[in-house]
Amino acid sequence: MKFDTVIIGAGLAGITAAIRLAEEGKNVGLVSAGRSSMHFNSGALGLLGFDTDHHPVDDVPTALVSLLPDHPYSKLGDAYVTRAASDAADLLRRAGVRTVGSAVHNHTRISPLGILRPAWLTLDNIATLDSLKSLSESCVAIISLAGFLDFYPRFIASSLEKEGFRCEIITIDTPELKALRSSETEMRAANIARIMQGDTLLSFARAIREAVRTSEATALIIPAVVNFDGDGEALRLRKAVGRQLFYAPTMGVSVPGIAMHTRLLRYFLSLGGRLLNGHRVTSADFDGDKLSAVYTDKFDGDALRADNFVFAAGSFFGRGIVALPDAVIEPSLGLDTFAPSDTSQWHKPDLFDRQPIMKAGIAVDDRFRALRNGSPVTNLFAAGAALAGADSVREDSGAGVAMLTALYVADEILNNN
Amino acid sequence: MDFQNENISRYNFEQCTKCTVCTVVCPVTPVNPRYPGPKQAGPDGERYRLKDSVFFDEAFKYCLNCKRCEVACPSDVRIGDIILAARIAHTKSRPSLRDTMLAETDLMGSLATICAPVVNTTLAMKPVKYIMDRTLGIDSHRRFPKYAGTKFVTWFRRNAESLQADYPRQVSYFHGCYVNYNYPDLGKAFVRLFNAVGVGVHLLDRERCCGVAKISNRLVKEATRDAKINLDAVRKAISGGSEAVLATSSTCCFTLRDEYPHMLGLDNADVRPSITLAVAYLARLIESGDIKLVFRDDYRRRIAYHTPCHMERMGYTQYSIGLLSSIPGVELIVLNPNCCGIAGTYGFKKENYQTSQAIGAPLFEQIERVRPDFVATDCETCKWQIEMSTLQRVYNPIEVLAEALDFDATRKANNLNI
Repeated sequence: MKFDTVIIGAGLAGITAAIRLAEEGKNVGLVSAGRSSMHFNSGALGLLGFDTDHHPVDDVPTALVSLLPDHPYSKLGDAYVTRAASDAADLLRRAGVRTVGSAVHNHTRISPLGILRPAWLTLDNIATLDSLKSLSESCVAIISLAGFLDFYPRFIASSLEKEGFRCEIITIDTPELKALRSSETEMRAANIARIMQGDTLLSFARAIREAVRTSEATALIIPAVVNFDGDGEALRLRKAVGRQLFYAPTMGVSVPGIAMHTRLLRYFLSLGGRLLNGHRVTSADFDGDKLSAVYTDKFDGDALRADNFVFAAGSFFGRGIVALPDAVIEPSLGLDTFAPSDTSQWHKPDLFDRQPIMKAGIAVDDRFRALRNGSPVTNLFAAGAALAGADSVREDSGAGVAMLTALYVADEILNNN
Repeated sequence: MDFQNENISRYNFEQCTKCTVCTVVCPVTPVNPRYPGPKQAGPDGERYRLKDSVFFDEAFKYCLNCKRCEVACPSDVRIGDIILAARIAHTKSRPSLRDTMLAETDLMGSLATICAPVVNTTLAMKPVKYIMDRTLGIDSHRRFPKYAGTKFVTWFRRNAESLQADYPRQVSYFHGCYVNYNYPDLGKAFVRLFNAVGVGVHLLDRERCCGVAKISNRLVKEATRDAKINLDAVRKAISGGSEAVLATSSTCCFTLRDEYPHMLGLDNADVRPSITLAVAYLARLIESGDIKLVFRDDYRRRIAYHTPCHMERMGYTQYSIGLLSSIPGVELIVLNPNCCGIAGTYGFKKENYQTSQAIGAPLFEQIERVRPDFVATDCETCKWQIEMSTLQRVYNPIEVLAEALDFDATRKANNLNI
């Protein structure tokens, strides 16, 4: 199968690059080996949440300066990061993902464990400290669902109380939720969201209205268990409840994260993009310093050919890189990786310390071309969590690195042709 | 160290990181709360079942075997296989008369085609449906596919077989039960299309039902018997000069390629790459420049493509999408990924009827909203389900290609003088 560009990996980085290229009329094949970590996203994106000393970042440009030279942001340059961050928000908006936030000043989001953390972009409808503070009254009711184990209202209340809010926790139940609980392991946010339509949604809204009737809270926080895709249900519930209503993310597979994935993928498909779903790249043909074709586990030797390729297969979770007992490797194309060669240097004994293995990834040149046997593959660009140099969990930079490097490599490809 | 790298468990189950992404795509969970979901029924429960089969749950029968969980899994865990294997290994009861009848497609098809008009009329009669519902548990809402008066094989032997050896390339056709007993028109379209690009078509020496219905109804012994016959016939066809053995049904193809080794333990590695879908074979030959398709100027259709679950599992969706969108007069709408809900014999069972329709509902709604000229899909049971549940007709991509083809121009473009 022949494309202008083949993108390996359909997480945030892969889809971003795919959309950018498809918007310019390119014929793009997007190879997806299983769902991405976007499904666990809490409806907020991080550009740089914590600096190298692990202090929360307020002013992002200042914190960028202190990053090490091997960090993807340092390679992109501070000016590019700030500019591309606003392009990224625009791209999300074109795909129908509406967000609030700025690339210069972080705002404060509420994590699924109720912790207040810096954020770059937060999805519309998701509670942020800033949106709660803009309310006229500081009394908030946090709605909890009976038997739902992935939401911790007490933790949220404790964080908000420190910020001067008065919080009330109200647990509600409906017959539909009770029925879903009959398979207790399936009482999960994504499953609840799938039944929250039509009458079930209205019954949920009635139960909330009933429960908060005597409450003086002006705003409600409810777990994100209502379909965000197309924001039909999320909006409908807001209207049916009749009070200020914000959603807070839940643990595990996350409804806002799924909605973001669905929106982005549908936008890509609507641009004529082609998805190779459930394909894992297994090997490749190289022609001198170029990659000419990749092969997947599904096509019996039928090659995916393209002028350019993007490697966005992720880190350890996506299996873009794999840790063997003695080395970190990139298993499909044999790309060079960066990781401490002495395995005793991979980990520090304190779990919460900076863990060097987290910065492992594939090695690239200054134009983000992947290295193989020490030299760049001239038509293979790498983006996202697969890249070495960022400790994205600790820094809360995963989404930013994914989108910004993806935009960069897409522009490299567009400018080269 | 090698032990650590190479100690791979059955169906990769120990690779599960408990991320629960599989539960997001399971079509059954949101509509049938009795089903414990793919993670619990699959790798989570498997850890316990390895110790004691008391942890097996009869509710696993609500699994559709759609394998959408496997496509979604980022860790390559074969979740659907784990659940089906557990059902086969641990279910105490014997498969019922109804399940056996639904699964014995060859037997039922052979009997029914002898007197098709009578059978078709009888199966459509309300009292008969009522009795089947009450006595057998075959849901009375379900419409049975009509049986053909003349089997595809009979038509082929009479009308087409003698001409095939003259074509420059040769393939064998695994027509499957549906083409043979119910819908020979698809088989005829296949032969016309392939002949037009210079490919001669042969039948396998012996062909039995692929066995998907037997496997999912736990009739493993019977399925294995048929599978061995099919694999022998495939080997004979390949060694006899066929370039490939092609199916037009995504599920037949999936069963021969993947369910045989995974669920029946039959080694098909020698012929697996030769067994493929007709659309895949065509797409590859078109790309390599070996064949050309020329389409009619006057063909204008708005087509909605539905991706069958097993098509997605094979990773073949882009073959059909690519071919359909290569027809100049076609406006192709790719429907959102959504299981149609029938899953072969699953939707015929009374206890599953409502689940089945609830699963398919978003798909049916989208089809009605899109209002295409017709729907295209590679699976016959998806076709029955969509035709029963919407106002649309459904065709296989091979039929669409044959319908849109300018036969004379195509034969000329492929330098055929036959």
